[in-house]
Amino acid sequence: MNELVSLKSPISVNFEVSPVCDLACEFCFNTEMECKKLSHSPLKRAMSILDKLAEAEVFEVRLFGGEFFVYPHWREVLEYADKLDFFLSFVSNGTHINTEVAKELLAHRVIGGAISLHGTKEIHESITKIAGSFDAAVNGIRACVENGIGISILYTLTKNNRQSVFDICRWLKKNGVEIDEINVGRLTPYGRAKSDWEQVKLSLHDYLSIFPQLEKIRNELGILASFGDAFPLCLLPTRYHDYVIGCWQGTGFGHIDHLGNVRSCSIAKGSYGNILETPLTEIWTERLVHFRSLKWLPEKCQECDNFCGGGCSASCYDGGMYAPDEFIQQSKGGSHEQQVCA
Amino acid sequence: MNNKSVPKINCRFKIRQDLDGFLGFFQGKGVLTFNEVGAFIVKQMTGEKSLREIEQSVRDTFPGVDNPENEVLCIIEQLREAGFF
Repeated sequence: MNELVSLKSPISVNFEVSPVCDLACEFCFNTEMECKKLSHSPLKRAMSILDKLAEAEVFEVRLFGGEFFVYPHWREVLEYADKLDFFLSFVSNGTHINTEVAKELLAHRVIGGAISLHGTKEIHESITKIAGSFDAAVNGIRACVENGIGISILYTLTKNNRQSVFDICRWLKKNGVEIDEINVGRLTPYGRAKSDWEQVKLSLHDYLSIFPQLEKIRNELGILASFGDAFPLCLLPTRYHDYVIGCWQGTGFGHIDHLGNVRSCSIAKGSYGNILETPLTEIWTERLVHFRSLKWLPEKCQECDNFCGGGCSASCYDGGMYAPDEFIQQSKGGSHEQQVCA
Repeated sequence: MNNKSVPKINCRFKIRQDLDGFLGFFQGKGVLTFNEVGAFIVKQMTGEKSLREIEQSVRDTFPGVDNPENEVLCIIEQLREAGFF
């Protein structure tokens, strides 16, 4: 039987420094509310969370949001996190990054990050709802790349942009924007995407049609294009298995929200506990036992020789903190009990 | 590499003791697992000590290790295969 390994703490975390974002992406998983109306966290709390992550010997902190660069104290957070000797990275909408910002990142040993770009200009801005956000994001990518920071593009798939992955890569290449890679991601029934999920969700066929595009991007443009989230390998032709990066939630990867709550996934909601109240090592070793047992997966997944983690937990509507992939449930008749907050 | 070579891992890295052995995080490259002796050896590959000196420090710190030279060479090979030199 498959089982996930236990570590004393995550190797890498997404730290949601602030829940506030200045874009309004149509599928944003982060909140049911308007991100712009949320409040920033106090700097003291952000620093305390970093202290706790350091105590637990987490290696890598990915500065995450909301939008990290709209946090009024992002420079102090960056400096403090570097002082604590984390390996640092960021996930951003890119619109606030310029040469000056890129140089500050580099000065604090940030050598890579991820910026969201969800299509060509028209498509991207129809998703973000902000005119000018495409050019601003591309300028942010350029500023990073020109200053030696490698950039991965994050591309969330929708019905409207799923055919445009190759187009944006070709555009970037043609315009001299040298990205490290592009990772397409699952559309998930959280936040804004949840309310009209039946209308917006992608089918298995929609997802399967992405892989030939990824292959074409790799072969014709020389850009490393991958499926950035987990996907059930039993439903994917073998030739594309290497295109799936997969997910290491709950073992090497964790998510810390701006309040200090611990999750195994950045998208799925809930909490295993709060690191400002309980040591992360205690949360990580004691409260994910059931998750790592995999007993919540269909038996076929538990026994599978080509284990993929049961696909993407966050793809399951009302899946709680973890659940089998939406397509595994459909194809294998798996069921799950909702995993509630700690 | 001969035993006068001074190995230096070509990226920033850190090692921590975990529940079962040691984990090494190598920036931009990935994660490797080690036993206690392996972790001790890797930590010294910062371009300051020769292989001979690292081997000697293994001998001094872990007197129970039968063949320190082989331990060091095994780690060198593991890191070389992972592209860390």
